[in-house]
Amino acid sequence: MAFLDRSTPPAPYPVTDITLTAPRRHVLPNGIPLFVIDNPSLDLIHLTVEVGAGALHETPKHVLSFAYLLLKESSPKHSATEMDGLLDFYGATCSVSVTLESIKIKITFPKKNVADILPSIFEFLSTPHYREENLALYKSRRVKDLEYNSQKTNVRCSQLAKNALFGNKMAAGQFSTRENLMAVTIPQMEQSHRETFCAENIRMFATGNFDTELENCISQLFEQIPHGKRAAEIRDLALFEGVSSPVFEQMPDSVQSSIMICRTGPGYCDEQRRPLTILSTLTGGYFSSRLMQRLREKDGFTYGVYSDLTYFGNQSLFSISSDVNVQHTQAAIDACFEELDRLCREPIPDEEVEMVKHYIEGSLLRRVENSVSYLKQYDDWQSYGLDEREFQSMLQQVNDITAEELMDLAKIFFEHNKFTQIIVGNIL
Amino acid sequence: MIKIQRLTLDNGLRVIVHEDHTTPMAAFNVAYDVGSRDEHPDHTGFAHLMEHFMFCGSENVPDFDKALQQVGAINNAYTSQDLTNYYILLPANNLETAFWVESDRMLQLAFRQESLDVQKHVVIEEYKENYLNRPYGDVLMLFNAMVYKRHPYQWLPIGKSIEQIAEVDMAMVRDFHHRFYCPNNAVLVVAGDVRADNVFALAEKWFGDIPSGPERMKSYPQELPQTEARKTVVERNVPSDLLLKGWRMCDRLHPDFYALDLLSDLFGTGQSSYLYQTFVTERKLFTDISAAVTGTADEGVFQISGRPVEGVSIEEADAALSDYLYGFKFDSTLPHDLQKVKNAAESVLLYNEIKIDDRATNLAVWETLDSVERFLDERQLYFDVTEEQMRRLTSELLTEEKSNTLFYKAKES
Repeated sequence: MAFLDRSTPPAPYPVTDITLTAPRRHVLPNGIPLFVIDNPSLDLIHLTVEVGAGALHETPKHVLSFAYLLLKESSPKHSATEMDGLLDFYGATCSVSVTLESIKIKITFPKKNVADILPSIFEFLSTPHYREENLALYKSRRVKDLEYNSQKTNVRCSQLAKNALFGNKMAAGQFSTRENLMAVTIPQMEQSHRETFCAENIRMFATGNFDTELENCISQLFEQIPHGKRAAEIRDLALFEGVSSPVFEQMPDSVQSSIMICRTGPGYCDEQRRPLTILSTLTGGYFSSRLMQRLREKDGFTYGVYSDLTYFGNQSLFSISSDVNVQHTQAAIDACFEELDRLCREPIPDEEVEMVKHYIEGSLLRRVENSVSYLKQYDDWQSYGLDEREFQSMLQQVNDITAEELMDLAKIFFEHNKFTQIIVGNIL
Repeated sequence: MIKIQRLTLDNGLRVIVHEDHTTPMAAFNVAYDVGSRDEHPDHTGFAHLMEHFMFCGSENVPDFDKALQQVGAINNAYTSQDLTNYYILLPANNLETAFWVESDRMLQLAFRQESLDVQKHVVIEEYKENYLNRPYGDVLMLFNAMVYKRHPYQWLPIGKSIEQIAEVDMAMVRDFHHRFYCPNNAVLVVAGDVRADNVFALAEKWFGDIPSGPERMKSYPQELPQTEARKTVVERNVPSDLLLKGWRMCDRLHPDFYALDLLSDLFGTGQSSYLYQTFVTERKLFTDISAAVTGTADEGVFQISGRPVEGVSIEEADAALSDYLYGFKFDSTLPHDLQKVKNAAESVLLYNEIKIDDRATNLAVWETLDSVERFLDERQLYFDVTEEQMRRLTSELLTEEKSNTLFYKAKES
């Protein structure tokens, strides 16, 4: 049987023009903006309540995060068990995540149940009644998690990086300890919630099959959130600028070492952010990246190696991390630096630049693939004062950037003495 | 309900299309009906290693990932006990590239020794990262080896040992590919901004010339009825004790599966579940406790796991839990409670349909298990579960002689 000639690949097509529809912006009487992305086929409503305060605002450590993470168990009218049962009965969920700069409360519920469940959710969000027994249980669980994480080399590595970055004075840089977990009190949590859960500090984002009734129901509840003081913006933190000797923590029983190489970088609104995103992707942000090809596919040192940019305030953290065979810990670190050096010294082939461009175009498209992912992306853009136009701006920048520009950026950004090395595990 | 169209090519490849023109993407899945249950007991971890090797290039696609990244795609794969699923998510206008790369590696994989050597190293590092260098990493390895004495579910897809992965040679790889990576052992699902007639034409063009593989007679050693309680006790360098109990249950296609899934939610999902209320909130014996079922093609497991609070021994916690389970009787709240877990399950089903790639993966898994049509209205299958079923299954399943208990104890420091 004759086979199809597969030697010629199908012609590739560029990402076609995508016009993102701006979400509808509705301002509640108390000033809270509600952004709505209509999706008539989505009967499971997604509502994100974003509070503009996060781990970087926290003092003492854990107080703010406890105040929000325990909300679901703090209904003034229902016990934690009853509230959980109510949420389940109406097919609703409520989850809280705490990032460096904000708290995101994600609520989902079937549209048909909005009047039955949303008032109860709003009640514990706005007027929590924290209970000692729930706090005690939560603390005991966190202590167990702490003990568990202390044995994980990659978690420990990340903690050491945060400590090196933010120092011991900021809660975000302090290590979690049994003592600081147990020290949190209900009055502290109440105060923290009171100070941060105010109209000036909140933005809301929603998607689903919206109609007037649903929108009114949400508005009538959340317009009751009182006014208060906006949390201070995080700007110009004094962060590390490179440590001369590596931070090393021995874990003798480890069969792998966790390594992290990191440095500070520009903030989200800096003009270097988009080029740096492209450079970071090329370095370790996708499967064909320099680091993945070298450490995993060529050397077989690791299952995975990744580079990433985390933004906060006017800055970012660029990091390369991996769990590597203990016999090759130092070799893996050396290989990372060699690859960074190569990006500074050797021209990047056009073919590679084209590939990373197409990969990023696809990534951008995936972020707006459905209304829920678009909602999350829009929320992120809004955090930095951007909107849907950022999609086209990023696409344009990706199209325009050249191999020379990426090499120039690498020369500035990949200087060895700007990096801190953190190793947890073994160096054999 | 998800709408699909289907076609079977002459070589046996089943092609399923789900059109959704609200997304600019296309999800492309090829699921092979081969998982770790198809491995020889002396060569475990092989199906998963094969999954890695499939990314090492084929006759016309020397670098699989590059070919896809050049058209804005992401791709990956996973190996379960029952199947191996390869998935690609890409801008819909580049769909044909996915057909090119997937058909080429099905037809003519490149068997390079150097690639195999590197992937063995990578998989060994994955083994260490997820199962050795992590507290509690080997819990399921120990548990499955106790629950299954004959069936290949006794080992996990990662394999029994690093040594067995290291022993794999190229002849074994070639034979495995020949036996299992053929169109009549595969399901192709394409979902997203595509047209079914176009997908069917592309499937015929790219996959139509690939010869069928050998006929398969699937047969796995089945477990004998369990008549005595089993128990394994280990000590590890972990921060606290962990109790894991399990009872073998029906397979994913059995009519009782949905009832058992809801039963596990009633017992152990969330703070309003029976076990959490009893053992965490009221009796304060556990810090956390939960229940779940495994939805496998052959007999699965109904599992309960929990961490005793400090000062409560694992023996004491287990005795209290066993007393509760073996004497359990539903009370008058069952109608309300059952409705609660049904409603929660409905929301989970809705949630799982949001992303186009999740929909495509579900379709591929369902078709590999049996046929997509059987699963399209799972909401109704959950809603059809009766109180009588819950009572019957609780008394049939949760008995001491059918139990499997793992005491995973923290070493005294």
